Amino acid sequence: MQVNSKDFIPLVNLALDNNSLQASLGMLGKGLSFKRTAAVADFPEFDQLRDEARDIKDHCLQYLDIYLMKFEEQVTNKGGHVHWASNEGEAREIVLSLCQAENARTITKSKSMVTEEIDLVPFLEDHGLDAVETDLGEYIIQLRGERPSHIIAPAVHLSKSQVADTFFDQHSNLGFNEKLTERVDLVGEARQVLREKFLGADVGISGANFLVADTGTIVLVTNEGNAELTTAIPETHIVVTGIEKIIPTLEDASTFIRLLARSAVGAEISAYTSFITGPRREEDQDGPKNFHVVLVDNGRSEMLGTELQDMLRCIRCSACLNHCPVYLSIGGHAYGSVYSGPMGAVLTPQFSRLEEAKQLPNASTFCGRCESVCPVHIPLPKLMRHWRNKEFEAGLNPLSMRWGLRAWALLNRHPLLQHMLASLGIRILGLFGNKATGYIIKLPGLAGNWTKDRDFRTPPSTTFMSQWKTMQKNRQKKEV
Amino acid sequence: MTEEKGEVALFVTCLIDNLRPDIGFSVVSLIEDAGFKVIVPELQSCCGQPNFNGGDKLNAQKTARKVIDAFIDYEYVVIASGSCGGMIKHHYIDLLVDDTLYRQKAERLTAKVYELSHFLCEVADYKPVFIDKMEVTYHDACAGLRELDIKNQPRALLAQSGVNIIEMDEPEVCCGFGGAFCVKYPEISNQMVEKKVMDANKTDAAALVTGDLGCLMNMEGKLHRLGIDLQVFHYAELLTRERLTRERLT
Amino acid sequence: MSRTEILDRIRKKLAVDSEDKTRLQVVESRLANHLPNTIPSRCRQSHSDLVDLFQEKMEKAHGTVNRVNNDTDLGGEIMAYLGDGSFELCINVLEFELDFSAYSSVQTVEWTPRSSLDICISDCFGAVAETGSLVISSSKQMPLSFNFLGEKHIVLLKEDQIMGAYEDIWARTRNDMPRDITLVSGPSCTGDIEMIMEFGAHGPKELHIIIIGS
Repeated sequence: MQVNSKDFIPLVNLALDNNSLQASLGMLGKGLSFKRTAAVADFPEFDQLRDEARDIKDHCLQYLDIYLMKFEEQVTNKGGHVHWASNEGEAREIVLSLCQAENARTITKSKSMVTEEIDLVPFLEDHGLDAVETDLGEYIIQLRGERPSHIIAPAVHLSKSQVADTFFDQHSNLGFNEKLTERVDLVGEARQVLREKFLGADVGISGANFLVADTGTIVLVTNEGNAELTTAIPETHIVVTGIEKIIPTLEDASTFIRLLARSAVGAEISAYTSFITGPRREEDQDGPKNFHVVLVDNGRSEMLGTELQDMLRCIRCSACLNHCPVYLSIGGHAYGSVYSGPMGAVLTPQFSRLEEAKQLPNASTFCGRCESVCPVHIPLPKLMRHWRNKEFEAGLNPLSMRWGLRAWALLNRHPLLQHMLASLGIRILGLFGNKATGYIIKLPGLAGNWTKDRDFRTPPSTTFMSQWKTMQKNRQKKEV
Repeated sequence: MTEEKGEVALFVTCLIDNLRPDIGFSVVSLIEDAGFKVIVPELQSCCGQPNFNGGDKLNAQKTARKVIDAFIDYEYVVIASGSCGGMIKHHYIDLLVDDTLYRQKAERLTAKVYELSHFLCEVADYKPVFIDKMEVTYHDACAGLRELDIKNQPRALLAQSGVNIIEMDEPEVCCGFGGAFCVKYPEISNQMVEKKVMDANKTDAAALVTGDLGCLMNMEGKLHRLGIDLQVFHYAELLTRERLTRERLT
Repeated sequence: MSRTEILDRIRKKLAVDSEDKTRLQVVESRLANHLPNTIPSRCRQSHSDLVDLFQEKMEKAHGTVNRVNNDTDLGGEIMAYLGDGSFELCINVLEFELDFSAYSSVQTVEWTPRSSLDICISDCFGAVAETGSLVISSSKQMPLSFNFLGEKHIVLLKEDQIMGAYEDIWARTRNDMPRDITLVSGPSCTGDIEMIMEFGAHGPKELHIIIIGS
């Protein structure tokens, strides 16, 4: 996975200064949390289903090897093929060789975060294949050479006029020479361009929202209908998906369908939910002759049996992004990873390296809003803390912080000394205060990061503990 | 004084102790008013949250054991902070999961640890008397809200004392304090707190009230920097506003 | 080989044994029982209420719904929906006779693979009331892409085809899953530009359902 999370701080500063991005994030945050709240209020069984969904995923993870083999057996029985990829390189090679075996030239692709994770499209393009993203948001960022800034709304960082500029630049060679201003016209132009791609494609590549072990069915959820056109028209359909997407039965799939769109965008269901089982049947008039499923591990199995196992329940709904005040301040690109927000802060260190991505799990206030909206109860703050523990154990954080924490802990074991030093400390702090206003406006060192944008109320010269002690003494004297 | 209903050990918290001792005395007077004797164990320290959230698990465990030892023998432990309260009540057991002895002690302790408003409403059945009419807006501090279910308790107490709460837009969204977060990522923190205080200020309330010192200082410091005249209080201060006025006058 | 490598790693991390037959039994019995989880109470009400619920939810998802008592003039109902103008209809309907002889402006065209269409008219496998979803399934008669390549899609649905919950679909299909079953809940849409919904992203811009009473 390509990651530039080391540049987190400069990317954050860029994001905070980007007015158009800030406007988009404002709409995203308000809109989706409001809609989700309304959808949940209208669905009394929601919390019960969340508990069940968590339990289904936990069960599947406990029996993951068997469920994957059951799924494989079913897909094979129905005439499809299952391929196993231990890492992203293998996954890319498998897909490429499947395309080459069919002499494919053109590929349509529906949205899939796993293919983003393994950088599939650039790889196929480098090998001379014409692979086009068909989800509108993905298509827009593909034209712009960008990466998704949100796991289900990949172009959410862009304004309508930026999209219009991109289409004007990139579609003129296709005979579209008008600079559009209306959203409906932009959608219409993309529809025309991509319709031609759909009708002519040799291979369709999709992800999968769920894999149903019992029937060998893959479940795909979209609003646009691009997944259906991607999977029904070409001669070959390749599904690229993570091993953790497995669930036992169609009944279980029903439970997840009820949670997914409500959690994601506050809708009861997405416009299209497809259950695809194997290749085209002899009597069918369309559908792919070749049906391949590439099961990608790429670091997932390593999470089993560790604290991170809970993260494998994730259904990529994006509720944690949509409710994260940090994500909503900086957007997805600042994370330097295709997985952003709280789920990205947990997954990115696993899929890349902790050294590379250590900022992400640190950039959280642990406000817990992500966990409170997660449809499968993933303890996201706890998992971000897991990475902070790993970082500390590996000695990756700054020395000043390490020694600061150690010194603080030492004082905690000697409370009386701590109280004494604190009494001294607040008097020193008091020296920085302005007597007239009662506030400190500039502090040195790390505390200067506070006073950069905020004042600090000057503390009184005695602590609670020392005042209390004096009071108790006086009381005792009186009693004597 | 009427007969005491029991003894409460006050976990003062570092921030109240060092930076806002007056709030500590408001807390004491509320607990006493509710009919309990207040004890302040001398051997108390920080709850260990900075180490816990900083990835220094080993030292967080050491601190947790000290806190447990200092408080385990009391009938009730009350904390006027959702954050420190959440640390002890919500995280200690998990933190000490591999230490059989202290995990059991943590279980015993957490059962009697209460955030102040929770204690006043649900244990002490405290009914504040009407003080005067006032309009405020309330910021739900994250840890109290999501780890300890503190939402209605401070609102109910404030309402009985005459306070009308004008809810701001998104009162449950984080103010951007986050402990070390605010100095590690000051730019993000600043954007969050700016949004928060703007939302609060839009209500035209006379004051902004919350239940956690970190949030309080963060929002107060931002408002002061912006030159916005909106005072920030801990709800304990507002519930004792009569006493505060009296003390100021005498 | 990656298959063995992955499966071995999973077992190692879970600290389980590949020879452990009880694990296999747990999975096999869960699959064989395929018990439902909680089914929303709204899915279990009288059939006439389910028909109403289907209509309410489909309309909320921006599909349009017209209810007729019988199938005597479905052609007329379709033309009433389409309004004035000349139309190319591509019809894939097994259950009903459609008569457009009274409408000179109407042409019918045959479906061919990989081609766009103007107006698609079809019947369907069924519908689910809980979210106002049509159930479309690929079959000998029904190429799946037929449902996606028109500008407008008109679907004929008999009242008694409306089921309550998703689980009701599986009860009828599990043993012989068609290649594709798609739940269609409203016209194709996208919120990918500035989070504002536009219709007709890739599939039909309009979805109209005629519910035929029994």
